Amino acid sequence: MSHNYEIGTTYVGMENLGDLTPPVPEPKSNFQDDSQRITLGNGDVRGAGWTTAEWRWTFITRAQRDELKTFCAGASADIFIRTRNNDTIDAYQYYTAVMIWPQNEEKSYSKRMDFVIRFHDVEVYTP
Amino acid sequence: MARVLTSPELAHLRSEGQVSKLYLAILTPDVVYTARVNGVPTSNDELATIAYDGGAGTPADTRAHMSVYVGSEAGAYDKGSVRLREAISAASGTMKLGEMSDVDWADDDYLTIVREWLLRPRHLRIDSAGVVYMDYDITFGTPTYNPHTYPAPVPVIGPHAVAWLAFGTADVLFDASESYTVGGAGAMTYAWSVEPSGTASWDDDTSATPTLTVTAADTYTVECVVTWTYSAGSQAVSTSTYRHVFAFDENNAPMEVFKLRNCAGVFGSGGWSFNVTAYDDATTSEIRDRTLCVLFAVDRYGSDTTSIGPLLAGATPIRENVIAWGWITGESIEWNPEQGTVGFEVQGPHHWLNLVEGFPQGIEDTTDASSVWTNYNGLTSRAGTAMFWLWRSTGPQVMDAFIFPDSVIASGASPTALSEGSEREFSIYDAPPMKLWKQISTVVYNAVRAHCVCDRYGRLFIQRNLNEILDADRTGANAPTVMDLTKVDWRDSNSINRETISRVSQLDMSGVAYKAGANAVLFSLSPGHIFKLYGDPKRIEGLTLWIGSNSQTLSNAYCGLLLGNMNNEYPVLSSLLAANNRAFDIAPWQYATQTVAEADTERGISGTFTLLPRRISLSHNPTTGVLLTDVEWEAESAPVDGITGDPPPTPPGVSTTPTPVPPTPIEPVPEIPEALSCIMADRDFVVVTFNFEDASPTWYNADPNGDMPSGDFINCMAFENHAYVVEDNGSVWYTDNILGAIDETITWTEELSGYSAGDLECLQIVDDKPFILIHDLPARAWGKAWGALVELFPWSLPIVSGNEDCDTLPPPGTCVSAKSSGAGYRKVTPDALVAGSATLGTNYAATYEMFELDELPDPVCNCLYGLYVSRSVSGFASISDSGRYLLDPSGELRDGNTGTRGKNGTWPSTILETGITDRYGVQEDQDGLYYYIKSGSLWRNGAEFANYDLFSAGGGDRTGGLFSFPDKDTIVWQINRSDGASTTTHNIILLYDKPSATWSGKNGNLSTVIGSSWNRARGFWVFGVPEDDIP
Repeated sequence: MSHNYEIGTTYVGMENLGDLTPPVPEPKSNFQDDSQRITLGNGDVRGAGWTTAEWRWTFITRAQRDELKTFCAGASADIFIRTRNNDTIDAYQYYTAVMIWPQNEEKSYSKRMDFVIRFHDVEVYTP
Repeated sequence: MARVLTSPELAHLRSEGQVSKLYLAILTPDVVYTARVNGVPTSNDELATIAYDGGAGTPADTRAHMSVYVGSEAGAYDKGSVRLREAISAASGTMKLGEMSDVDWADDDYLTIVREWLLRPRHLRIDSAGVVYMDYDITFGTPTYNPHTYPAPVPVIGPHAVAWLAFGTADVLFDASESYTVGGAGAMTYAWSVEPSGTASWDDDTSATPTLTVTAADTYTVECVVTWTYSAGSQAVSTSTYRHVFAFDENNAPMEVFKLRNCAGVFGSGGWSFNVTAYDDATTSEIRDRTLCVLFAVDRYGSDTTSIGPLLAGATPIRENVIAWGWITGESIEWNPEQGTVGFEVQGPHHWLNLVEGFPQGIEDTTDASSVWTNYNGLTSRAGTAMFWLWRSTGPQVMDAFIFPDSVIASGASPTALSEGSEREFSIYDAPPMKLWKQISTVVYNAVRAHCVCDRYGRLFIQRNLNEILDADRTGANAPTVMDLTKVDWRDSNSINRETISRVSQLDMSGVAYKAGANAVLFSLSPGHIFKLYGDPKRIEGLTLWIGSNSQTLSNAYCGLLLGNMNNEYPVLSSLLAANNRAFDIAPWQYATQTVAEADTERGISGTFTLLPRRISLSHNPTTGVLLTDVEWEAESAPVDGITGDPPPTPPGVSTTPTPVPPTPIEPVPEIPEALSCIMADRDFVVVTFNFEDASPTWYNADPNGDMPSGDFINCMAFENHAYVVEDNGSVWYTDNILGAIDETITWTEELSGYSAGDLECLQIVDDKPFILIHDLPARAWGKAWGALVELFPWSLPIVSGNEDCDTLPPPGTCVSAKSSGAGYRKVTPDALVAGSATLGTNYAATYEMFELDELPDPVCNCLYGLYVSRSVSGFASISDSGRYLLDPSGELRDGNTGTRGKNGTWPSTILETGITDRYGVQEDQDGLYYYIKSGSLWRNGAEFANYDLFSAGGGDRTGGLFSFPDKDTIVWQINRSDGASTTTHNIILLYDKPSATWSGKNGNLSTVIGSSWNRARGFWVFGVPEDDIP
């Protein structure tokens, strides 16, 4: 079930989401090179702010949610991830980031619906 | 000083991906030495030494001016924090302290000397023989040199530093090469040291620009002893100064869980301040009261991690990561079950110097060699200010100061002269007793119109206004153009305020060109004898002008410079910069340029603006990490013609040669007992009494000669022998002889007129100056009507309408403000009209009650960006005189010291009482108890204190009354009644004496003075008159 998304509190300890216990399915992801747009005096737009990323699942199980939670004990945590960026080949890249745990978790039976984990301060990590 | 940004730096500022992480470095000073108080002093008053024993530590580690905590337990400062005047030398003996009266000493109190230097005064003392001592016991010439012939150097070593250890080490550069002296030629040497020294070392501890290498995370204290050795006599004179270096690593991180608010530097206010809201623990042991706090950033421009600031170009950044620093001046603690927060307000040195009271300073020029502290051979504004700075404050130990009020900043001993000539000489440097900041700024502004401004690094710059120096001196070397603002440098929109109507029609300027033995009084006019079409004439007197053959020519040109600046066509331009741009600052001299093409604006204005930064604010979005800069500018102004003015007619036999003013008497002024007095405005009468405390006060008709129309008086105010009466037809009447009511010699003149009924409102004393609240100014060049708080005295101050008006406030920084119609407010600083966006609720949409008073005297009030008082108009808020309590228009009484304390459009958060709808304001007594009128009764701290039936039974008008507090233990309450015990006097004045807890009626002979037609008192004011002045 391995796929291309990884997570870990250290680089060497990173694990594929599909290899976690229980395995976490591959998320849909997005990647923003900047988190704030500034309109300049000449009408151009300048990107600024943290690079951000998101992992989204239509739903995950409570057990999968609990497994992800082990990487983010509080509302946020410094983390290593491998995620897809916006390069032309949609490459996967290793990053350091701050993982933001969702403030609201919509529960349906034993599932978490529309579950979104955000990352900001995303910086390329070169081992 | 300021510098031009390099091409790589400009590329960074115009790059994508700018992001910043903010941090706070907070000083917890090291303990240097501990001891215990040995015995109790005979008196706590004027104490300058304390006996101690049980010392622990190394006495040689102590330094003069360190803080000494006085506590009831080890390390505590619950009894105070005082200044060590001299380093100690033994484990027991007598500790020399800064003179004080406010510590309640007890035997065995704990003394903790810490590695901390605060801005404190150094008081002078005069013994019974009239000998003046600096800092209590320093005689002139101690130990061996003449301090006026051989002034000590003014150290300049830069601000505190913050460093991150990379691979266990970090280098911090220091630069002391800009240190200088106001004395003669010589050479500067430097001696650097650091504590703790075990993990820190210098590459060259005698260099002007050494590098400190630290190898462990810690807070280091750097000492630099700057020594100037005079060529004449080889006299070596030293000054020590101290800075902290905060070094962090991954395991010793600075505080980062906070939000930054309101980080701004304002030219008119004199410096920088910021607020942070902390979410981590911030106990009083972790963040000590009034501690040093450095806001810094790790900045990224695209893929480059670097910071851009005003200091060195190209070299390793030495302070660019520092955004601003100051000391914590106030805090607001939010306590709730979900998450508590603490808001800290951090103010730069300008604020703290403005909190500290200084004794008067008087230095007179002498042609002989200086021989005492009160004379100085070759006195100039710079020399006098430097002496004040070096001897009367601990400023040199704490911060850099560039004292160049009449020249170009330069290191060493010879400042670069402006093209007007060398520094103007002074006959006297006369600083009256007031706050240290005002003592410095008042003298230099009144004499040479120099401004005191601290930059983001807490460096004090005393310089002239760039717009008031000759064009020949506005060079790139003196005032660099930091950058040219192109369209990719600003975001969203720029705004340009253009004034096409002159504000000053004629400037009548005069002053004295002084040189010992060769004085001249000069008069200049601009533009000439005929007024400009628009504006009000203005007079500036008492300037110090240039001596020499071309002095009149210079004076005339200077007059034209001033008028040109007063009528600046572009007084305020605003730019929202599109970058984390910390290269600009409000000081020292610097410019930006911006080219506007004809097609850029709807108005078709074109040209290149040369801009002077007057207000800089930084905003940080913690979600995106974006730090952006907003700047308000004043455009460079052009001079107009100036001609020789006309001296006033001189009576025969009167010399025009100015008589040198003797030094300010510095003996304590004996306290003169004051008689409690009261002035009251009825609708038809104004009455006054000067024996208000007597059982039956004697009231006088305050207008026995009928100078004022029998109109509709609504308010009054008096202080000393001055009095003001507001008439509801839109005028203010003034007398400088209120005591003349006794013998009917009083005269009133109409000092302010032309307003409509309801325009003029309450009167108030702020910082010992009378102000009037004007609701609705006539439409001015701004195109809107403004409310304004206008200083009444002196009357030369025009009504606020724009830039130049506040500029005339002596000293700069005395700030008045105006609120625009509709939502939002604008703040008028001495140099700019600042747009704001705050609102205080719907009740304020059409009124003008909100004022931002930067200079309120009380430390608490300082933060309550005040709502000044109307007691009679709905929709107004009021605050107690100290600013501690605030009554909002909905009847909620709030603790003014909570929440944001009224800043930024929010009320103080803590509600003490509700339902107070009588709208007679809130007052506070000397014990901090608050009083207000509710349902016609007088209430105190939530309980009814006195009923309106207090003095007379029977039915009555239960509309309550007005009350106020004089500066004594008394409460004054006036009740309006339609009937009662007195059938002819429908008003009753009551005075409550707190010590005896008794009420007494104060109507006295009122019915005799004004008969039975007394209508209804509108306002009254209680004041003191020296008993000796009463006939």
